[in-house]
Amino acid sequence: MKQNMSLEQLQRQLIQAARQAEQDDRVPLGFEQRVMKRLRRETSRYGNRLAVISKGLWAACGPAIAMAIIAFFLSQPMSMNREIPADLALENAVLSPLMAENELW
Amino acid sequence: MITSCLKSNYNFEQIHWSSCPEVESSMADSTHIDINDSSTSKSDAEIIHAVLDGDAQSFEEIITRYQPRVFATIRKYARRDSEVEDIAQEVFIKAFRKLHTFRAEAPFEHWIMRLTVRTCYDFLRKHQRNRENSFTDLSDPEKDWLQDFIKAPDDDHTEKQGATALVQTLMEQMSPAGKLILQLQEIEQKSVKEIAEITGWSISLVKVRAFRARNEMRKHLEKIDLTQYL
Repeated sequence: MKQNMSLEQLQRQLIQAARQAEQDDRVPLGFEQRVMKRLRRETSRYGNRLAVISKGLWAACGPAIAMAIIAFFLSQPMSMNREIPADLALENAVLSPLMAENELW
Repeated sequence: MITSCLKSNYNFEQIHWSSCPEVESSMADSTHIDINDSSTSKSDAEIIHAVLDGDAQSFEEIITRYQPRVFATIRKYARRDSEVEDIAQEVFIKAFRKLHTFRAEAPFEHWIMRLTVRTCYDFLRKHQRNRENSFTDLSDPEKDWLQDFIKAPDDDHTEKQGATALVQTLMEQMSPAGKLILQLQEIEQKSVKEIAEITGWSISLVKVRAFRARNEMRKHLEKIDLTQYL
């Protein structure tokens, strides 16, 4: 019981001491200059990285367009081959009612 | 919108905001954040506007203005000078990067202090040292203070050097969350709501962590063998 009382008092006194402690707001000499230097360094690095990425994207732009055009022309004959011939289309149209009749069950 | 403007024009030497009217309007509304009464020096709003407008050098004024408060806050969580400066640098670098997120709904001071406390918490989590055996080798002022306290527990011993040192020793043994809560709630006497705003935790989480922190503090204090100072 006495030990508990002492602990409570100890806790109270320590917290009170911490509240009364003066703030240490000293700032190292030239701190703001060091931060500004670091900011300049980091942002220029970031800017350089962006420049390299955008340069690469622009360089890839031409070949990408060329590839797209080639792919478009290559796909044209293939799609024409896939079209159903006119005679076959006519035959399908004529026979479709009969084919549908067979499927009635 | 402001974020996209910053991203598209992010260059320390030349940040242009001519195509961002949103910034103009948001900064125009922030006249109430002028904490400097002096007519000769710029207000926070003016400086922030200048920085976002491309004049990154103006940020140095923000650093000069807030560095004493930032350093004082950091020293509550870190002791070594090198660590304190590292954290302070991190705070201002983050502040510069996130300046466009400042909405001017509250004073800039609150915003930067919140950033400082959160950076300190991140630091504490990253640098959790071995927190054992700290009460075994107390310094002479700490021992003297404990002896005085045991002799007369009801007297006021709070102004002595040993008490401050003992608090530091106690704080070093606490977990990062416990240390943060103890500092904000018990020492700075902030409300649960204020702590929730500063830390970004929910109110219920703050309450749970405060309860745990008090238990943790008590457990650490029990380790001190008071009988040896009789």
